[in-house]
Amino acid sequence: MSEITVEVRGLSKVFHDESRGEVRAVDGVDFACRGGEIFGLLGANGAGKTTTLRMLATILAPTSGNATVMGHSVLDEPELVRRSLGFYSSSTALYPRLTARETIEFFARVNGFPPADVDGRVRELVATFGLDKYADARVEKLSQGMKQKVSIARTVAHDPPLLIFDEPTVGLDVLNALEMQRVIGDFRNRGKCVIFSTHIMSEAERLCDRIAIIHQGSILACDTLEGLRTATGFRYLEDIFVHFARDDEHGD
Amino acid sequence: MRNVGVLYAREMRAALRERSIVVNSIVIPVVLYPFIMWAMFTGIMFVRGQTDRVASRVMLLGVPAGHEALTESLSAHQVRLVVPSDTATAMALMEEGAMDALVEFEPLGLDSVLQGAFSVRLTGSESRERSQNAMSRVTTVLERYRDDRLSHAAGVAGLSAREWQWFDVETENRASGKEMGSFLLGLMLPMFFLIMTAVGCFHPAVDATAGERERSTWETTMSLGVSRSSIVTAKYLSVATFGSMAGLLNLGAMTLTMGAIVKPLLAGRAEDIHFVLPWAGLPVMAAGAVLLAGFIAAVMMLFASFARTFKEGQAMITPFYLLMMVPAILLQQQGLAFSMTLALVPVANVVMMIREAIAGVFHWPQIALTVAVGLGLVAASLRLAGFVLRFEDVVVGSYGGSLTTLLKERLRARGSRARGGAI
Amino acid sequence: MATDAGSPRRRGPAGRSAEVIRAIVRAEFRMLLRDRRTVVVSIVLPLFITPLLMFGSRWVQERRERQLETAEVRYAVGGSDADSARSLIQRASRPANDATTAAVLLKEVASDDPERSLTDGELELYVEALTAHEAARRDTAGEADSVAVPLLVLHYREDRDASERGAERVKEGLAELQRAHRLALLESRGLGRISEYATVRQRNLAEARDVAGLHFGRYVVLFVLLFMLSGGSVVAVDTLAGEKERGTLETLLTTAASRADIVTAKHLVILAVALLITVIQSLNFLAYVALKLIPLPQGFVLDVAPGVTVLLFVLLVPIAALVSGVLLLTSGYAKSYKEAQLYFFPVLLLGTVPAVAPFFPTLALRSAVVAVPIANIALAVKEVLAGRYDWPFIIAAWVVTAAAAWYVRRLAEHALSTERLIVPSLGESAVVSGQALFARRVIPAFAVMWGIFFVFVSNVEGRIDLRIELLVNLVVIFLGSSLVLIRMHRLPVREVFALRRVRPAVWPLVLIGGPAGLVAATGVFKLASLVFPVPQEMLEAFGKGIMPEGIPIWQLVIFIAVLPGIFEELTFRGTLLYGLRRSLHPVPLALAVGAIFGLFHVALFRLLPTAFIGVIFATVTLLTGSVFPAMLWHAINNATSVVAGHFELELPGLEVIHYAVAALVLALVFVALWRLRTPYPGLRPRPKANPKH
Repeated sequence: MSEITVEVRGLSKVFHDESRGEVRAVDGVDFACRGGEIFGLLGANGAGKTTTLRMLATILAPTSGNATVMGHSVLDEPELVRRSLGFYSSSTALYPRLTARETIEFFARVNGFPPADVDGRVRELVATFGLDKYADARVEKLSQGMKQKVSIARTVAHDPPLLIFDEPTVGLDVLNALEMQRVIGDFRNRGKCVIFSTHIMSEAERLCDRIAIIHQGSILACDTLEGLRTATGFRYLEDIFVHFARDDEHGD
Repeated sequence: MRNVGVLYAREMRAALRERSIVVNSIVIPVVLYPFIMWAMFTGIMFVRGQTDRVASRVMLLGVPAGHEALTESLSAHQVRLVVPSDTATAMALMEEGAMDALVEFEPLGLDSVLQGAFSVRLTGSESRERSQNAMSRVTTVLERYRDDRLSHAAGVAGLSAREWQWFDVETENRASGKEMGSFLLGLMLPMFFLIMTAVGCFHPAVDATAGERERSTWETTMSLGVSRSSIVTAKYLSVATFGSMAGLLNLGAMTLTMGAIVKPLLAGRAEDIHFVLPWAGLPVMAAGAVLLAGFIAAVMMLFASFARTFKEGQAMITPFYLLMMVPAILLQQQGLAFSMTLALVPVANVVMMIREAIAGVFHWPQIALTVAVGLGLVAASLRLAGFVLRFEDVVVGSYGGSLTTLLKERLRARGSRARGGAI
Repeated sequence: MATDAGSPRRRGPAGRSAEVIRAIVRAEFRMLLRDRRTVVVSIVLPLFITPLLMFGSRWVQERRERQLETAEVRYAVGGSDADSARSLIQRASRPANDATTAAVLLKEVASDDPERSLTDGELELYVEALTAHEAARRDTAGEADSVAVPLLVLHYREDRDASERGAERVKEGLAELQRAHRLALLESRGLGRISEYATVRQRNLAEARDVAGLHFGRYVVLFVLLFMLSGGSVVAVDTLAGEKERGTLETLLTTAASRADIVTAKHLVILAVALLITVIQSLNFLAYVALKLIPLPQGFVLDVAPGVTVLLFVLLVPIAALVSGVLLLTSGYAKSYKEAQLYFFPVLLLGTVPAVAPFFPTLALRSAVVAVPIANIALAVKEVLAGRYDWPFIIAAWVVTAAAAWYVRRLAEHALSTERLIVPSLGESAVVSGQALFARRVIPAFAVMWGIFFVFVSNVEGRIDLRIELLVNLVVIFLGSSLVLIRMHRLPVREVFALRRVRPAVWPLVLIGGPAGLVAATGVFKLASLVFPVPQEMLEAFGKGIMPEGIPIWQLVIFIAVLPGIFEELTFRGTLLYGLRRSLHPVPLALAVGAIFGLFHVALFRLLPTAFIGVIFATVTLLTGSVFPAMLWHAINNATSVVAGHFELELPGLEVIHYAVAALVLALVFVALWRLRTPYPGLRPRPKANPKH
């Protein structure tokens, strides 16, 4: 296996809420993943997946713990961390009034891709994602599927070693969701490290090399699908998930 | 009709929970405008008081003997006398800004008949406010002193007091405190009323149309099991309610606070002037509010129903909103009479009607005409809305243009079809 | 690690920043220009509308003036001496050749009941002519030494323009007639040059250019500020708040662009638009002036040298930077486009306040004002245009405003690092009830209360007994609203009002602190009046208000000291403080409670001293965790001023040393209170430092 791309140690996040007081959204999460691997975070809504990934992308600062991306700590070198990753989620939107080409170029430049190589990179991505016909149309005019392609293209515009996909298939139709899965698989094959969060069991089953089950801010189990099956004796991920989640609640 | 009632209640409830609507349609008209006006007038008062308090530094050169009363009067008017030296020094001091004005006395050469008669050369710089102030103080004092000296001269010349005085003039204001109050209210309130009605309609109109599209609740609403026209009517009524509410609330709030607002300006007269709205005028004002809001709400919703986002909706309404300011400016004219011709001019007629109602004056034929014009306008805009809503793409929100482009396109299409038929 | 384009080369951080900023600025401009509707409505339209509105209102005003000038004044003459009055008025309406006033168009109308005709609007003026005898009788109460002469009483109506103007002009004409008559009399007695006696010939040392500059210079910064605020807000509202709403901000924050770079880029865009709009609007206005659509006053020579234009531009740059920074900051605090717009109006109002500094005729740049951003530049611009160059202070003003701009930019950067502000879903509970809801509503509730209070006081003051007025204020408005709020949100009464026991040692401290606080507050008030002198009339009105005659001193102590001490404390240091305790950190909390307390004293010049006292009360409550010490302090404070007033001991007349000593005592009392503190429970914790981004 290749070197470790992401390493997360004891990552926690506490929020202050107006009426509930302190909320521990993420509570001591540890994991690591490498290039050429798809690492899945599986959990229900509000389990802490998005918060974990946002801390990894340095949008949020951890309350305690640390994480490194390509050896850079999210606490000390947030810019270098962000340069090494591409972050995609259903809530990261595109600028409606830029064209597809301008969007990709913008993100390549902002992420520090060598200026001299930007044009070549943009041409390459437009070709890869089959955007030729629409490259000069404004993003607001594009169809849902096209927008999705532009979004992915902007995520990888600066060719980062780590790609984070936070619930990427939320709100997509079947064809677009399958396309998304295909693209994510592709990235793994090209040696990227992919972290992928979802609450859809079948997606995790199909895509992930390793799965971490996250519930109420903690990782309950982390292994390959086979490993999880052996540990619990269940065949389907749904059952495995319910098994751990229930255990956790009884343990409280 | 019951459906409309239910939908209307829903629209109102939703709108009252939206912060931007509550702030713009209720808080701003009721609280902010009186507050701003109060702060503004108190500020003006401040500037005035402050100017009065600062002393003017003035040098007198060559004052003839026997005019101590003049120097005393100058000191009483906040003029501080600078030790006299010579013209050159005085100029230098003024240049530095250490002195504000120079008064040089020149004898008139009447000493044989009248001792110490003089005229004055006053030097200052109009590019300095303190100097301007000093010059006006000196001039005022001298004017008064002149009257005094001339009547003294009359005595010397042997003129009798009766001959000298000839006659007296007094003025007497016959307007009562209440009439003055309604006059002052009528100066400001109708403009505010117009602007506030427009402000009050603005946010609800955008929110009920473009806002629903943006939140993607438009389709939910349109698919309710009631006729489309009842939905639109309910929305329209709620927007119009906000408009008239904003206008009337502002009217009330301004009336209640007017006393405090203009108090600093009226100095000692504040107690003599009563700010009250005549009860008899209330129905007319309410009618005016309903007509004005009815028209503004209809037009604003027409424009905004083409927008897909809140921002777009705002941009579509703004030109109309600015247009509303034009009558407000033109109607500042005080002597303007509420003629039958004016009663035909939309918006302006309502403003005139309300201005007169504040003063307790009612020209019934003009009011009737105004109401007729207003109702006609509301009916026309609702018909236009009905026409626009016949187009599926507008209702669904897939139409990309604005009201004007739609009218151009579809009316031309109709026209060419008609022409085609004729050939 | 296998990548298809090789790992990115590293560049120097400065070069990288520049590259990132350039990319963001370019994208922002592209997007702005493509948003055609917004550009047209918010930028192009005002270019035409503003001058047109100015032109329109001017035109209306001029037309009205002309109308009044040429309108016929219908008048009737009555009374026993009507004939001589008629001839006087006719003579007065035809001014002498050398007179400055134009002829008045008079038309006599016959009327049986002129007073009624005046009321009905058939007349503008009714002249009642009294003989000397009648006038003397009427004037019985007047001065005994006045001479008996015929009297003209001009009856008019001040609520009608034409009537007011007509009366005024007839009166002027009569005065002119009288003056001419008197001079003729004197000249006939051989006093040749008497008409020149005590006349004033004015000589103006200033150049016409500087005079025009002074007039024009007052408005420059105010107008420029309005253009900048309204133009800049178009971009600003969209730039952070709009991005949050659309979700693109999160996308941008996951890129390698640092938050400082993002803020710099956006700041530059707003700044550029603000400056551009200012330049365009200025040219636009000049064009309108050149086309004579906006007329200039006669003799108005606006002649600005190119060097001065450059200097003005340089002076305006820090203002533009500050304005765009403030707009960016507001946008950063808003969660959506709509919310950002909501903040815009208050920002506009507050932002233009310092720009009115040049309207204060006695305020000079060479004073403490140089430390007030915007106000200092506004004054500098006025002085420069009036031909005065106070270089050290001009430079200081520039530096101060530029520093303020820099500070605001830092705050904007901080806003972009505040998690609650960048991730919209954080920190907001879906369901809020009871106490949390109360925290949100407390400010609006106090605003409503302020409105009721204001309306009540302004309509009732001087018309009813002060004691009743005070009781209604304190019991009905203050306590009543507090109780309503408590009931509505089902709050614990004891905690809301902070009814807790305190350490006994606190009481003597309060006894010492009370009078010291009052003297120190008076010092603050004097300090404030150095910058903004207070009008004398207002000071006198203040004295009258607090020292009404005919109320015995013991009652004054009860109504002005004891009752306010109880009820105002329950309301402000009880309800208000409780409502805000979680929303603000302790220091801003005390300041906010004090400022709101100050606003409830509805007079501009009392605001600062009462706010200062209010901050003291709030601090005492926060340190002791109880409202009782503040109550005692408040009562002592007010009682001291009542007693001082009673014995005519003028607190504002003390020496500087007294204020200094009082301030020192006050400081010592607070040190002691700090040592003895039993803090108010449930306060918001101190903010934690955010790691760098």
